[in-house]
Amino acid sequence: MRILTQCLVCIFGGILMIGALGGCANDPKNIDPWEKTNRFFYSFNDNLDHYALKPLADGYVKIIPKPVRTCIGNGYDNLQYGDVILNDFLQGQWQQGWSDAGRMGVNTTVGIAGIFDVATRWNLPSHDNDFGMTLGKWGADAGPYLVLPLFGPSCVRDAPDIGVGILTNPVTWIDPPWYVTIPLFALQAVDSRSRLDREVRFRDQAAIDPYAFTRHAYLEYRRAKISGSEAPANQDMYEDESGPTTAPATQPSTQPATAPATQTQPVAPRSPTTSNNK
Amino acid sequence: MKCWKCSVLVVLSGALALNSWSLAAESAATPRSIIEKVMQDVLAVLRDTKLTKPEKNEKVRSIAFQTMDFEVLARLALGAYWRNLSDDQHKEFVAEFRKHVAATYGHTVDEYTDEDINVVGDREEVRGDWTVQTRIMGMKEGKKQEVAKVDYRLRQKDQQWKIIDVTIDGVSLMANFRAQFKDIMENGGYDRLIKMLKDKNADSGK
Repeated sequence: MRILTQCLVCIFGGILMIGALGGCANDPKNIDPWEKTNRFFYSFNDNLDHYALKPLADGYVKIIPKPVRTCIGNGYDNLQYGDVILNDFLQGQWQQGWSDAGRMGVNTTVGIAGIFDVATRWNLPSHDNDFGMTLGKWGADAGPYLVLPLFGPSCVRDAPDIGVGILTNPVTWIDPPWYVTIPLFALQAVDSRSRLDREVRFRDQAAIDPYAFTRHAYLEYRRAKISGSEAPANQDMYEDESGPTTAPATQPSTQPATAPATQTQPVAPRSPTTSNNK
Repeated sequence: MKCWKCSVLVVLSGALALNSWSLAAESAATPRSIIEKVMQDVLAVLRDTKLTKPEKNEKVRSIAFQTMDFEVLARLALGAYWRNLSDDQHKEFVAEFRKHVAATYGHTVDEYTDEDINVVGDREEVRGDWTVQTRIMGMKEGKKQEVAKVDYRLRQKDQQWKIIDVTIDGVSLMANFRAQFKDIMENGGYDRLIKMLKDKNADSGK
């Protein structure tokens, strides 16, 4: 029950914040009003990753054979799939919602608690959906950029999904004791980190300023996912060649309709630590 | 009379020949066909089992160098800051930038695991640029699934179409660099930026 209360507070608190901050979110200079705190947590996540998560993930990859790791990953994906189903329906995506419900059903039963991904072979492919996308489709702006400890890049609109994710996770309702949930969560963090290694290495190579890189790629990736458009929102940035008068302060973020923030590459809101790239 | 007809015929056939040549050249060189060819070439390199990883890296890099216009990309990524720099600084910046992009995307070659790349569409942009849309398809549980959406934006210069931006899943490479560079230029200026680029390139070289 404590968890339930905490989740609800998280979700509704988030929604309230979006409402309150909706005004300033449209100011292009304000995509990152909490930059100082964000940079602190970015650093914190970086260190956590470097000293704890990555070594654990590397060990995990070395010791556990790939088929077993795949099963573990499938199991966790399945436990979290309730979030996808809920948000399919909240967004009115009935067909996808039923397909996803079927997927979770099939994988939980035939796939033995989700460890075998049988559903994909049965034409019930996996989809991506979350509460941040729902809020976005309902018209919410991204709100200020956030770097959450452990969870990594996020924003005021996307953060409440963490609470929704917990609420829709069957494990929450079974309510196991702490010495079960903590190892479960730790293993999930390590497993997710091992699956994201390619993306993290890409960020490490590509980024000259990792914080700005991550912020831009995250926000842009989310904007594209929510709007469904694959084109960059700001077409003006292609104009500079003839040397016109764009002022230095032009961040490619001033989109009239959608969220002003721009962020790194594909990020699953619940993945651990720094950049979650896909 | 005979001469006149001859000359007309010659001129006409010459014109036709020129026309069909340039038409052939044009149709061979549409943005879409260029991307299709680049994808074919890159996939051929990646799937060639006789090449070592460094060799593949080198080949893909040279394909990229031929098809991308790094100067335009660098100029757009710096935005309005470009105009305040000297010619020498321009040259220096483009050189370091090109090294950096080549190193970054060269490493993604190492990650290739038999994905397919399909060109699925193209459209003209307001400025006359063209965007060609591709999809990277991978196998999951025996089913082909879309791994990423990659769009290439091409601009024509001197009759040649070159890539000036790559957008992956909605994230524009150029815009991302722009966001990073803006941050750095505002906190340290060009000197800091060029130093960071050089340091990065030195690290990648190891």
